Amino acid sequence: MDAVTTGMPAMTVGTVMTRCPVSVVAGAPFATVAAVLSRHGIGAVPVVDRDGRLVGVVSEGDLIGGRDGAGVTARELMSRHPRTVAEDTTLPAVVRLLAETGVRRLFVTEHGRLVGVVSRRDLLTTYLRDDDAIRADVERVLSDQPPLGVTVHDGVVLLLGRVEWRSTRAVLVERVRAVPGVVAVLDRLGYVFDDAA
Amino acid sequence: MRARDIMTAPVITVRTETTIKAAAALLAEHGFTALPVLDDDDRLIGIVTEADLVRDRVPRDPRALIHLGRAPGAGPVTTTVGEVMTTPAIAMGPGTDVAVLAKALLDAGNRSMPIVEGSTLVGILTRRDIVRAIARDDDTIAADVRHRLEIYGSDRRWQVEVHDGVVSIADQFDDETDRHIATVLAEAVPGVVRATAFAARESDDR
Repeated sequence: MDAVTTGMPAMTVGTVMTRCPVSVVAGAPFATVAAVLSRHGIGAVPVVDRDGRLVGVVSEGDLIGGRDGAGVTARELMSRHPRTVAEDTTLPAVVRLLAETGVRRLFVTEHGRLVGVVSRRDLLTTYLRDDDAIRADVERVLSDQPPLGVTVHDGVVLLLGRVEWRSTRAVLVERVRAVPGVVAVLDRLGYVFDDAA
Repeated sequence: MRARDIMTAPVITVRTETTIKAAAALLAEHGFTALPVLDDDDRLIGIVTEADLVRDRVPRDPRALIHLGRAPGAGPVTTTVGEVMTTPAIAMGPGTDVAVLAKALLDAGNRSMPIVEGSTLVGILTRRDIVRAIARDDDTIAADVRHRLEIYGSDRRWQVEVHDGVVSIADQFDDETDRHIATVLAEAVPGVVRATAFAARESDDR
């Protein structure tokens, strides 16, 4: 799916993520982790190894449980295997993943190395785009087709009408799913010619 | 440490009829984790979080919208805070011990706790506030470093400054061995990122 076909390339997480996020090493003491969270005003900090590979994450909840911080390091506090995405993941895919998993941030990695972070808060306005704005963008990505019925309610797009070729339907649905703010696509399109042999 | 010592007040709140778009704008603008919801008598009736706002936008089965009889082409649907908020909201009093409050937040999986006197909202306390209290601020660190250096000379000898956990120690005398020991002592203080010691110049202003 390229810019020529759609007229609107999907934005990727690389466009909006915070690059080179603050991190701590596994051996960082409790007080250092607390200081990092507090000074940077963040809710969780990634833990990386010497090569910058993501190994875990420590959140506010891990610190306030009342354990005595003496002798405790990030390694003991952290959750392992935090969820990650690749830099070329589309924004709508990230938005869906955040909503479905309930996590508040996703770390962006390349070959295991931490390169960025994106939070649900960063994308909050994407979730709540005006239905009219979404519909205008959807109509634009479908402008090379015969007129189709497009309605949007709370980000859910309903497509009605008829396209020329059966194979076009799946292509169009993917274009529409890539529009920022689209939560889901209901495909009720018909076709004239069946080219799915 | 009691809730009243570290809570935030006054609190930004919303009403049940506030739209989720307006609530999202408030959350994004202020960087808050949740908004308490007040009724017409200004009593705490619920709480709405970022998760509540987002859950509404990703329905589990979007086809259910068609079967609910919403005609395509009907006017835009505006969802309000009242439809997505958690109610009733857990709340605690200003005299609550922060350790008790922290446990309540963790047990409930919540990130903020409204603080009430009766049914009147008087403040809000978040996980972030608790971490801030645990994390040591520069003044606390400086006092601790000075205290530990006292055994190595009076406070006239060492001048300690701390900025973002980085400790600078100025030595009125010029003894490299003592300065090294001072650095080691300082770096043992919780919250210190690193410490350096140097000889103070004669022409230093105080």
